[in-house]
Amino acid sequence: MSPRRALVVLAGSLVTLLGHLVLVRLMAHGHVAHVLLGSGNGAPPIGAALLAVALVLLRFAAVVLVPGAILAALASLLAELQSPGTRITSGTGTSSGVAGSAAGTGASIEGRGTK
Amino acid sequence: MVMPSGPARRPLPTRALFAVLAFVLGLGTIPHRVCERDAAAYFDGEARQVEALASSVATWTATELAAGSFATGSRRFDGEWLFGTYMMAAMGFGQVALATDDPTRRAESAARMERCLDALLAPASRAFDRDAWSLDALTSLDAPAGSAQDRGHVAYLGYAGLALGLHRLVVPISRFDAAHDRLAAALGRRFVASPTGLLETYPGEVYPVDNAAALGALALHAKATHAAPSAGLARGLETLRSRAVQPATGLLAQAASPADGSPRDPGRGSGTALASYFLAYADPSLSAALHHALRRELFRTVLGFGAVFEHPASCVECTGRVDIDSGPTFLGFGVSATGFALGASRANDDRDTFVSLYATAHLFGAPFDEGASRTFATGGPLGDAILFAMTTAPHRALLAKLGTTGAIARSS
Repeated sequence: MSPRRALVVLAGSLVTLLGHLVLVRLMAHGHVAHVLLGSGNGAPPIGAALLAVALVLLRFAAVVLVPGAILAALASLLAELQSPGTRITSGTGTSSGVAGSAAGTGASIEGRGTK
Repeated sequence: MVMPSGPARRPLPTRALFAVLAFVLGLGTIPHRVCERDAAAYFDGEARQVEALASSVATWTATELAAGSFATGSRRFDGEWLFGTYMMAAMGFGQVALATDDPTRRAESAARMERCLDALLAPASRAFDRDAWSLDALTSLDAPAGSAQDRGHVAYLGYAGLALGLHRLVVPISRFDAAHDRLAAALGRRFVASPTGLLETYPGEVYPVDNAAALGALALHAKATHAAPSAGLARGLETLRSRAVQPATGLLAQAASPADGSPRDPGRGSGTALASYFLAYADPSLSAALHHALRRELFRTVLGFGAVFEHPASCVECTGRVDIDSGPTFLGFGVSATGFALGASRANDDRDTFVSLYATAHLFGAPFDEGASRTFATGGPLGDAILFAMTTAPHRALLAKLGTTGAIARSS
């Protein structure tokens, strides 16, 4: 994960968490579960149905996926910060970055061994 | 030796590996811990946590429910859900009252419970049963013993009787006593007279879980009145053990033949879990046996979240089958089975199972706290009431106390 992508993931996680909080509040205040129950076998009000589906999906993402995503982004940023001379590159530079990084690591290990 | 000429960069595969490992670590360790953080408070009956849900249920049952609150598409199920909301709320309030040593809290719970009892005894809550039998359940109590009308109604009478019995343990003398005595007498009489040892919920329909509620009601009546248990209680329990509990799995059949009481299915999660909760009041050993069977056959954890399958794996033709009892299912896991198993696990002092099941209820229930009350956003009145009853199900120690001293609430 590139640093820029890690920042995007962090921002996305924050938005997901905030959106989830807003939806839970909306659903509880709107008594949406009650409205959906009240619709029975008929088609539920579209607004209530969309809200419920959005909440379930967003809550699943916020509770189950976001913690791991945040950790992954932080781990990626930490790894980047630990590399000397780090520079943030765009995702399109990934291919060349791989080669350069591999060479740098190899030199570092050999350097310690020869001191 | 190769020295880098440009800026040193950690290899992408290493960073990607870090990221993947961190994601997996987060996925496996954080979500269920976040969701189960209130579970211990519910399991231990911490007053503030329990009161928050009680407050929300009290609001639903005091002001907001009406006959048209539910519309499942079936008039019968609408009525069942209305009745079920009041019944489960009454159980929750009664269980809170029994468990607390605080007289003020007990009095408040009793008052809330009485509002629910009034509602579930009202004609609107009896309509689903009356429509099916063409005879009101309470009117049938006055039918001559052994007459054609002196049978069945076990869902309405059993569930209402359970709530009335719990109330009598809390308030030994009340305006509900006469109705409670008539109801318990009729249930006991009907179990003894039944050719199968089980009672019908509706004409030609026998559901063992409804009978489990009625047996819990008979046991609570005996405890509350310090009377000898009805002979019908022993007969019903023996029938459940010998006919309705499946020998292969230990699960409770959801439906039984009205002709001979033989099981019509291999047992299901929702019925087994709910019966385990009800039977904690009547026969703790049978309750424990059902709970253990449920754990063994149907309970699973995924990433620390506990859930209960509605159907056993051995029932291939049951796969994907849903109905009003199961509620929605996801990958075979049942909403009702998982929710009712909370009560079964608390009544059987199974903390680990309770905690993992609560994590799932928290994840999909989406609790919303405002002020001093908590409502589950995806639950509505029925969901809140069921979770309230299940998360306050009595522990074994309290049940044992009930067994020896009857109405323990009077002693403090």
